[in-house]
Formats: sequence, C-alpha cells, structure tokens
Amino acid sequence: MVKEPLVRLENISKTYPDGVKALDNVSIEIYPGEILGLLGENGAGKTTLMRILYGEIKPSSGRIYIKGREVNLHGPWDALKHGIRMIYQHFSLIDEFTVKENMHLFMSTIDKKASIDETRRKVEEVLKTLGFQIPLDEPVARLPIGAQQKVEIIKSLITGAEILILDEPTSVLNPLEIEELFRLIKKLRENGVSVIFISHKLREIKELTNRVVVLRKGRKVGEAETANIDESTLAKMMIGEELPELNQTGKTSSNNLSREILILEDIEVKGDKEQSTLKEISLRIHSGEVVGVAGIQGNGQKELAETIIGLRRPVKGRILFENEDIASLSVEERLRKGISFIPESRKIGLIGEMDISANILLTNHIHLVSRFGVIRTKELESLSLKVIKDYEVVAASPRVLVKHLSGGNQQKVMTGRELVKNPKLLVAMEPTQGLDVKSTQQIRRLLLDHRNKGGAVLLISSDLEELLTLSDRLVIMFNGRITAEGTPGGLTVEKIGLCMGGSC
Amino acid sequence: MSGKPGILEKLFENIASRRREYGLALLEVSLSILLSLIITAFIMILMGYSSDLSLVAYSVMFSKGFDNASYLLSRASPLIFTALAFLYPSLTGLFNIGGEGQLYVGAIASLIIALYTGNSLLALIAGGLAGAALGMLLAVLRVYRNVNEVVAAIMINWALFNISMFAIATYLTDPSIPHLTRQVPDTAKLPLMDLGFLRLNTSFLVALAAAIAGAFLFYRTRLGFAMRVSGLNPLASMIAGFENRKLMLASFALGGTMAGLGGSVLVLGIVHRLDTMMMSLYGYGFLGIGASLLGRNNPIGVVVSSIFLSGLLIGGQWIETRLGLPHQVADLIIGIIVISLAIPFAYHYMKAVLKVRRK
Amino acid sequence: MIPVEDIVTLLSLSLTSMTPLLLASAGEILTEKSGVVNIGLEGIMILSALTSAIITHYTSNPYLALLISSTIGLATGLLMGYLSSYLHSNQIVVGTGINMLALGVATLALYRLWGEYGGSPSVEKLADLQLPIGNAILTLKPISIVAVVLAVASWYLLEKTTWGLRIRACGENPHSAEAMGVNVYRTRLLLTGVGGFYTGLAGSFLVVNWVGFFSREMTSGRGFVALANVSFSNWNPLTAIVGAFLFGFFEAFATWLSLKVQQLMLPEYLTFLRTSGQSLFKALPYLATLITVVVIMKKVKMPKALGKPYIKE
Repeated sequence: MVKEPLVRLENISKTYPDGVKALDNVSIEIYPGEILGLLGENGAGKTTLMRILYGEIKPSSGRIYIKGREVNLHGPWDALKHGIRMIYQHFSLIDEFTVKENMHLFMSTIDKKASIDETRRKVEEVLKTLGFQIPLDEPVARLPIGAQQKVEIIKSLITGAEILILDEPTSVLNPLEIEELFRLIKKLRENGVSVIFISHKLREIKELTNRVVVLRKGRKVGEAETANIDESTLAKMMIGEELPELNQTGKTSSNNLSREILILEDIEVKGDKEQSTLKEISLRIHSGEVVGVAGIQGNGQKELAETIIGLRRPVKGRILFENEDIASLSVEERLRKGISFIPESRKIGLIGEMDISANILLTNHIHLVSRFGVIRTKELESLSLKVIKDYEVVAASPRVLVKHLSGGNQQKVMTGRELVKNPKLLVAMEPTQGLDVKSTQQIRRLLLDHRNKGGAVLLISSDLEELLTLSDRLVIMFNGRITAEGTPGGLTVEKIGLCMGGSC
Repeated sequence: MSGKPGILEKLFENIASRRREYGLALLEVSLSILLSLIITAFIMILMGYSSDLSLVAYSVMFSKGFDNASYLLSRASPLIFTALAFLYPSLTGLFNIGGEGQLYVGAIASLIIALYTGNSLLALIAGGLAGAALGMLLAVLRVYRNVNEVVAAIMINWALFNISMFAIATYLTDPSIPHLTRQVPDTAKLPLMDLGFLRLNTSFLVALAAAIAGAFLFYRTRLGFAMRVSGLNPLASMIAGFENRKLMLASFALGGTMAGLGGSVLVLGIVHRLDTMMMSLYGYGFLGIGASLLGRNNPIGVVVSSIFLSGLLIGGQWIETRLGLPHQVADLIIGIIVISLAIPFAYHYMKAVLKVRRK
Repeated sequence: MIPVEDIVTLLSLSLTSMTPLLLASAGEILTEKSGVVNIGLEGIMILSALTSAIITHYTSNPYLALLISSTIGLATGLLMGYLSSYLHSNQIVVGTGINMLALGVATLALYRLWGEYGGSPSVEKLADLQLPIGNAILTLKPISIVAVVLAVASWYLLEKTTWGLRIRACGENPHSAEAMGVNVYRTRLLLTGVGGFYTGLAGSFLVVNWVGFFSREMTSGRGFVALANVSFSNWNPLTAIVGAFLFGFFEAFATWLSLKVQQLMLPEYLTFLRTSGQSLFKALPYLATLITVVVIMKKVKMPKALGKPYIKE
C-alpha cells in the first residue's frame, strides 16, 4: 500500500530579480507522519524552499500540491489554512504576555469566536497527548528558550497544523533542551504530524529523521532513508565531491619574519545563542599568513571576530596581541594597536546616508584628527582619493553617498579603508559575499597582497572555495568550538564536511 | 566595455544628487508653508470671516512682519537657540523635547546672576549651565534608569513651568510692579550694536555664533562626527570605537545648554525682566521644535527658519493691531506647518531610529 | 477640626476636578496600550470645549454639544492615528502641532463669533446631582459618574477581553502581533480615535457640566496632567481613577486653601501660599509622576513599543 504524499513540491525554481538563482528545479515530497531532514550549507536553498512552501515567497516556476490538489499560496495565512506552519529561529511571541495569552492571541485570529477558556482547554489537551508540561500562566519572557520554542510549536498544533517546518531549531538550545525537543518531535510524529527539520548538523539529522534530502547551491543532490546512509556520505553530498582548485598566486613561503601576532588561549565568550557561545577556543595567528575559519554561519564565528576587536569580553581565557594582554582594551584602543575589522554585513560596517570619505573616516579617525579633535579634512580627502584609486572603487568623487554605490563598490570601500592602514591583523568576515566574479577576484587579490606584505589575516567565510583558495591554514568551527585545524591541502573534503557538521 | 558610459552617467548623477537633496528640502518646506497658508485661509472662511480677509491678513503679516530687521533678528534669537536645542540631539538620533523647561531654568538663572553680579557674561554662562544640567538629567534618566526621555521631558517641563512661576512670583518680583520681576541691571543687558544700516542686538550674534559653532562641531570635529554616526547607525558607531552612552550624555548636555542660553538671551537681551504669568517665556521650546523641522535639520537652515517663523509671529501681532484679528492666526499657520512637515521628516528620522537602540 | 461642610465641599470640588482628568487619562491609556502616544490631548480638549460652547449657545442643547464635541475629539484622534500609524509620522511632532493649531483655531473662532479674545458667553449646563450629607450638600456631576464607568469599562476591555489582548499586543511587540494576525495599523488608528473621543468628552465636560462657558485658559495644562496620570497609574484605568482623584484633589485643595488663607492669620514666611504658592500645587502632579516613574521604572509596565513608529516589512 503506497502512501500518498501530504505535500509535493514539483520542479521548484527561484531566481531573484538581481539574477541570483536560489533554487534550481527542486522536487521533494513529504509524507504524513514522517520526520524529513533538509540538509545543506549556507546558501544551499533550504530556507528558501521552505519559505516557498510556507507561502512567504513565490516560486519563479514549479508547482505545489497539497493533499493531491494544486495550490497557490499567497502568504503564510494560506499555508496555515492548509495545516502548514513554519517556526523560525526568532519566535513571534509577546514576551510580556503569559503563555496562555500568546496562544489565545494566535487562536483568536484563526477562530474569532474562541474564548480564552476554550483555548486553554485545547492547549491542555495537546500537552496531555504529547506528555509535556508548560506553565501556562507564566510570562513568556521568564521561560527558558527551550520552553519558548515549545510554546511556538504548541501554538501551531492547537490551530491544526499537520506539517511543521523547523528552521535550525537547535541553534538556540542547550544539549538538554535539544534532547527534549527531539522527544517532542518524535511524539508529534507518533500523533500523525509531519516535521521538516532544516539543519546543517549531521548527527542530529542522523538521530532524528526518517528521510533526508540534501541540497547544494540550489539543487537537490541527494535523498535517502536516514537509516541507509552514513554521516560521511552526507557530508560529501553537502559540500560537494570535487575540491575546488587550489590557486594561491604569488604565495610567499613562510619566512624568518613570521611571528605570532595574535594568541587566543582557552577563550570562553557568551554568544547570542547557545551554539555560538565560544568554548575553549585556542588559536594562534602569525604575521604573513591567512588563517581561514570555516563553518556554517552561527557557530561562533561572529563572536570570535567581535572578541578579537573588542566588542565582546571573554569570560575566561587570554587574548594576547604582539605578546600584550589586550583583554581589557576598548575597541578604539585596539584600533590604535593595528587591529582592523571588516564586518559581515554592509549594514553594520557602512553608513549609507554618509559619503565615501565619511565612511573611510569611520575607522581611520584615529590618525586623521588633530590634537583638539578637529578633523584634518585635507588629509581625509587625499586618503579617500587614494582608497578610491587603489581599490578601484567606481565613484565620481569621495562625496558620493555610500548608499548610491553598488554592493561591490561598497564592499571595496569597506575593505579598502582597512587595508590602506596596513593593519597588523585584519579580521575579515564574508569579504566577498553577494559580489560578482570580477569584484570577488579583486578583493581576494587584495587580501593576498596584504598577506604578502607581511600582514596577518583572519578570514571568516562561509564560502569554502574562498577559504581553500586563500588560506595558509584552516580551522573549522562548530557549536562554538574549533573542531579541526590544518592546511587546505591536508584536509579531505570528507573531513571538512564532517567537522562543519559536528561529526568529527 | 559597458563600464565607460556608465561612469559618465554616474558622474552627472552624483553631482546632481546632492543638489537634488537640497532642492527636495526646499520644495518640501515651500509646499508645507503654502499648504498651511491655504488651509488656514480655508478654516477662516469656514468660520465665517470674509474671504478676502485672509489675503489682507497675509499681506500685512508678510510685509510688516519682516519689516524691522533688527527687531526681527533679536526676536528670532531665543527661537534659534531652542531650535538648536532640539536639533543637536536629533543629529545624534535623540529627542529633546525638554527645551521648554531648559529655557525656563536658563532664564531664571541668568536673571538671578544678573541681578546679583551685574555681569552679562556670567549671567549667560549661568543660563547655559542651568540648561545643560537639566539636559544631562534627561540623559542620565534615559541611559541609567531607562526612563523614556519624552515622558520625563514633559513632566519636567510642566513641573518647571509651575515651579518657575512660583519662584518668580515669590522671590524675584519688583516691589513696585508686583506682576513683573526686577529689571536686569543695565550693565548686564546685552547691548545693541550700531552698524549704521542695522542696529543688531547682541543676542542675535550670540545665537548665530552658537549655530556656527554647532555646525563646526558636527561637521568638522571627531566628536560631532561620532555623534552623527551614533544617531545614524549605533552598530557602526561601536565598530568605529565610539561609545554610544557617553555620546548620548554629551548630546543632551549640548541641547540643554542651547535652550538655557535661549532663556538667557531672552532675559538679558530682549525682555530684560520676567512676568509672573510666564507669558514671555512660554512656548519657545515647542516653537523651537517647529523651527528645527522647518530648517531641515541643518544649523544654518535653522537660523533661516527661526527668522521666518519669528517674522510670522511678529506679523501676527501686526494683524492684531491693524485688523483686530487675533494674533493666533500665526499659531495656526505654524501648527499646520509643523504637522505637514512631520510626515516627510519621519522617513529620514525613522530609518536611523529603527536600527538597534543603545541603552 | 475641619468642619464637615468644608470636607464635603472639598470632596465635591475634587470629584469635579477629577472628571476631565480621568476621562482624558482613560482614553490615553487605551491609545498608549496600542502603542501610540498622543500629546495633543490639550489641543483636543480646547477644540471640544470650544465646540461645546458654540453648539450649546446656538441650540441650547448641552447633550447635543456633548455628542458633537466628542465626535470632534474622535475625528482629531483618527487624524493623529492615521498620521502616526499609516504614514509613520513622528507622534510627538504631530501632537505638538495639534496643540499649536487648536489654540489658534479657538482664538480665531472666539473672535469671529463673539468679538472677544477671552471667553464665550455663558451657556446652559447639565444639571448636577445634589446629595445631602449631614448638614452639607455633596454636588455630584453626572459626567463624573460616566467617567468612572468608562474607566472601569476600559479596564475590562483591556484586561478581560480578547480584543484587549490584541490591542495590548500592538503596544508590546507590533511585529509579533502582526505575525499573529493582528492588523496593527488599523488597531492603532482606532484606539487613537477612541482616546480622542474620551478626551473630547472631557473638554465638553469643562463647558457644559462645570464652568458654563468657554475661555481660552480653561484647559490650563489638564491635557498634560492626564498624560502624567497615565504614567503615574501604570497604564491601568482603575489606578487612573485614584490618580485622577488625587490630582483633582490637589487642584481642589489649592482652590479651597486659597480661600481659607485669606481668612486665617498666617506667619510671615507662609504668606506666599495665598498667591504664588498655588503654582506649587500645580507642579505636584508632574513631580509625583516623575518620581514614581524614575523610582519604579523597572517595575512600571510601559507598553514596550510605545511611541516608536511601526513599519510593516
């Protein structure tokens, strides 16, 4: 007896107006009462695919069938009517309200006539069926994250969800909460609810799911019964069989000038989430080398960068820069010492409403200001012109507002203003994200030039090809720890994938 | 290669873009003024005034209001200050609506110091410090106790309104004229400067100096730059190494100083004494908000808009003298200007505010 | 020590003073719970008081005046709500503009209709209830009762009904509220209108149930005291009743005292109480609120999203 799929996504493609192809002809099926894993790296398309199923995005082509009938979803409320609900990493709860009130708020949209007592009864019913407890009269803000997540899940169930899409749900949980979540998900399956589990964590996929679909760069590259496949194979599917060509132009051999610029010893830093909290991080960076940090976004890379530049303070451990303890130094003091930062988002690093020279001043003000705090405008002007020229920023003058520049040129401003200082250590996050091929090459060349001149670079990127091309040494981060360390040539694809997925 | 023609286009576009922004601002302002004049006339007709009365009133307002240049400029001075009191913190992304109360304490402090020392400079400094202290209070409440600065400012404004009234009526009155305070001694008055064609009140010069100094601070010094950055993008500010909390405190102190000085010049240069009903002080703070909006967030623009609004107010008084029509016509016009400007203003302010706010 | 007649008089005066404050506060609580702060309350009161005087003068029907003035308040509130909510305008600026505007309109109208700058002629008022207490008579105004009823009703709406839950969600976390299906823009628009309605009622009360004519100074900052009361009462309409009574008492006490001190012998240093001391009483509500808010700000349950424009993504 063949089971009919609850949902069928057929030949889904999605191309964005700027030409980026997020999904390419992906077809998957979801059966009732199963836990389906959706595995992939950053940018593989997993969230995009699910958002299409949830009605938040419209596909460029392809069809969606729910219970055999083709549907056209205009938004999440349509999907809800069909019993589909997606739960994100940040919840849509009102912290000041109690659990009961949050449930009722949601319920009252779907069923205008429901009374708060009816809602309470429904919630208690569901909790009883699943064998869980949540204090209903407690304000949500006082509950631990794991409990809040359960609230979100129960909220879906009392409004009749049959398919629950969970987007990286364990990223905010501690190990105990993860266990509880898994129990809950398995209970849901027993009660006929299907769960789509989006993740990059191999062990969790292996432990929890019945089936797994692997996406890479917008395409489906694998599908299997979880029981019949092992983590290594999944890892290889996730990041691809072929290793990108190693292409390190002009690499100078490590030499007598090389010294330890940055030493991190046993660093522990509180992160935005549990899985990005840094634990026992030890790292050494030398002058004249590029150290690449690989890993799925959200595993502590941002926290690592912020700790080095001074936006976060470690709870334990030491940070030494040129053999000096800098743990108590402010951001500005570290800037003076020669540490530079390219943040992961242009929204954080640049101010669109200000012009190019103001943005250059942003991280160069230390040496462009007179004793009384007056800005040396002539020097700023010539520095700005130099940055525009040396880094090939396409702009008429330094007076152009940054928001009028293309993404690539904005990135060049952000990179150029740091490199022009010839910093001793450059922490670069996602330096080529969203850029076209030409700009990407330009920036990679600039980073290598800096390295060749003796500067040190800590390159944090979710683009594995970039890391393998540019790094002299590579570390892999997962769950706030360094899971592997080596050279690009010395690490196999399998090992990289496994370590990125937490299974090494 | 597709690059070359693109660069040429961008060249023209970039030169024009700045001009476009200024032109847009000018357009917005002109439209608001025009709109409010039309709506006011409409309201007047609705009330039953004859339809040409509003036109007559406007002609009186615009001709007589801007007639006497030295009077106009001195009347505008306190308004320039209260406008700066709102503007400077707003460039840092903060809302100082405590200008009214800061003006009161500045005025009273100046009056007291003037009465006791006869020195105008000391009196000015006293006024500025008093205003600064009050501004800092708002900042401290916001930064350290997380008190909404709008609620706090409204409470402080009105508490001070009544307390000032009390202080003036109880301790500062002129025994011979019970509803007025003692007069500022001549040595402490801000003098008039005779330039031949123009008799300029020093108050205006002080106000102009404050505007120019502020412009210099914000656009030529690192501190000012840091404040603007903090207002536009608090996260970028942190990465640049700036400390958002300290900047908030500094900016409110600066705003408070401006309003305090506004009170000082009002007392020392224009009215020379206060009345127990606070008539001479009331409203400058709120008008300052309007002048700041009308000046499109630019210190020099604020000077121009303050002069313009003062002209409207003076014109209103002339309307009352000539036509018997209440001078509140001017208030009506200004009120509508403020509302209509609130809408586009919101877009610029909002974009900055919507980023993560620092505690 | 204080004779019963005086206590009863004080009580009557307090209840009367309480009424416009309570109405405006309760309305503003509703508005602020949805996330909008309306500092144009003073202006709305002026407009509705003016309208009441005009309508009662020409129709001799104070009830009609109540109705129409409240509707004017509703309309102004809706304007404010629309500008703040849908057009993302800065709420403080719009409120300030409304205050400026109202004064202008009121003065112009006064002059046009009656050639006066100060006030309107007397108009008919609503009858008061007279309750004997001992030898004295307690004057109770009908609108005072309405005010208390409305306050209680507002509390019930906010705390005990589903609508109230949805309204409060807009003020706490509009993004989550929207995600849960609440139309935040529309809710804020409506609630600002309702708040305006209440305040319109308050302004109308001043004319048709209290003073009996319109004068430009009659609102004397009551709109702002109402704002103070909202924070002071922790955004709870029931506590607002107490707060409004308290502030009304201050006002009444000051008036009563000013009469009494004329009669009593006062030591030299207290004579200011006869005149300028009045202002100190007027400052009390604001100081009380400020201290309350500062001292217990951590525990004060201000709606988290109050005053910030919400933009749907």
